[in-house]
Amino acid sequence: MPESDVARRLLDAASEVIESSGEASLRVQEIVETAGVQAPVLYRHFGSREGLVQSVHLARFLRELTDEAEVFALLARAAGSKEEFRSHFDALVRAAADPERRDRRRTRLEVLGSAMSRPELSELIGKVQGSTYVQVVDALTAAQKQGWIRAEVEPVSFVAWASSTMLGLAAVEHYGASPDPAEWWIGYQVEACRAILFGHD
Amino acid sequence: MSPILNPEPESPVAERILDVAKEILGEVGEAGLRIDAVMGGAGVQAPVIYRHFGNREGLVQSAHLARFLAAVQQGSKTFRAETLSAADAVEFRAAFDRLLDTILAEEHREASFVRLEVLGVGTQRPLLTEAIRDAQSSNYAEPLAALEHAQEQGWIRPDIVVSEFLVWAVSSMLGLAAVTKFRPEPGITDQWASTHRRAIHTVLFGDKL
Repeated sequence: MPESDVARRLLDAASEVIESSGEASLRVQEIVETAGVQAPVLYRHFGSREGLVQSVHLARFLRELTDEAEVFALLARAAGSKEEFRSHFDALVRAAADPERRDRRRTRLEVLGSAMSRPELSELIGKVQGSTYVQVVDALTAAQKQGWIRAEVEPVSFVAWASSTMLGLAAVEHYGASPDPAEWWIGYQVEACRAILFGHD
Repeated sequence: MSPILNPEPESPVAERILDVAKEILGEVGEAGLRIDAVMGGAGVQAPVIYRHFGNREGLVQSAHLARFLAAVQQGSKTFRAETLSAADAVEFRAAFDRLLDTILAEEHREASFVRLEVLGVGTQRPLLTEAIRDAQSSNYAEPLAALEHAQEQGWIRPDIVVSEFLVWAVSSMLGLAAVTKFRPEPGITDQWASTHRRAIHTVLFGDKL
């Protein structure tokens, strides 16, 4: 079995455990058995149990970001007018808040929360995160040149705000009392985004 | 043994154990919490830890919850100090802005980090999830009453559902912890705060930008 396949199998086995019951329930013995290898192989590839856990978190985060790219593409479509750009923007926010994306939002909350006390993982997440939003930032910058969004908007910081606040929806979906909060939660979000980007008119 | 959630222990020994665990979580995170280090720090043997917290996992969850409750209490205290009592719309708005400034200020950053961390690590833990749910719902009662009063007085927009607005405005503050922690761009935290201020103003007061 090629070495990279071994690492992949360990990662897959660990991902499955973490996704179904959380990192606290991950047992090295169980992982090596599922992957069909001996424990030293795991340590060679990931250093320690902690190294494996962090690799899984990073992999899940990357996967989630890749999925998000298709949502971001909604905004990158060529718009012929301010109205068209606005409807693309609405579609983006609505898609990001889609009930079907609930699990992905929760994954993001889980990974970021787990990374808070892990400096190396934090740094890696910071690096990949910035590059993901380039597409949206570019689309906003182009729209600004056309005069479709307010000149005062700073695209990078607006996107940082709009994307990071989605963690709030994840938290409310998981911890809140409302069974399906996305509908109203996103209503406030859309209104705020519209006012900031387009002003009230 | 199964985990025992014991975030506010009555026994002084359990309290000491929990304090040590909280300190370790704050410094190196849960992955770095070793039972022997807790034994040493609290001056107890392992069975004492297990009697009060069930197992390591129980201690970890209790310590997370205790930190979360402290962060929530800090928020409530701020809310009470910056009371939203006002005689008219202008006063209400000034009071509201003071509250918002305080919540967004540096001194609350640590509490917001704790919130993000615990909400994140709690998603896969049923006991912790349940306890966080309870803590959150009671936490909204006071600000909710203040906002409802303001709406009756016509100081804020009549067409928003204040309970929903409040949850939106507070939950989205998790973003502040995330950008501060994960985004390297200089000044991003301040920009985030000013965007959030604008977002809240426009929804709550219908401000024109």
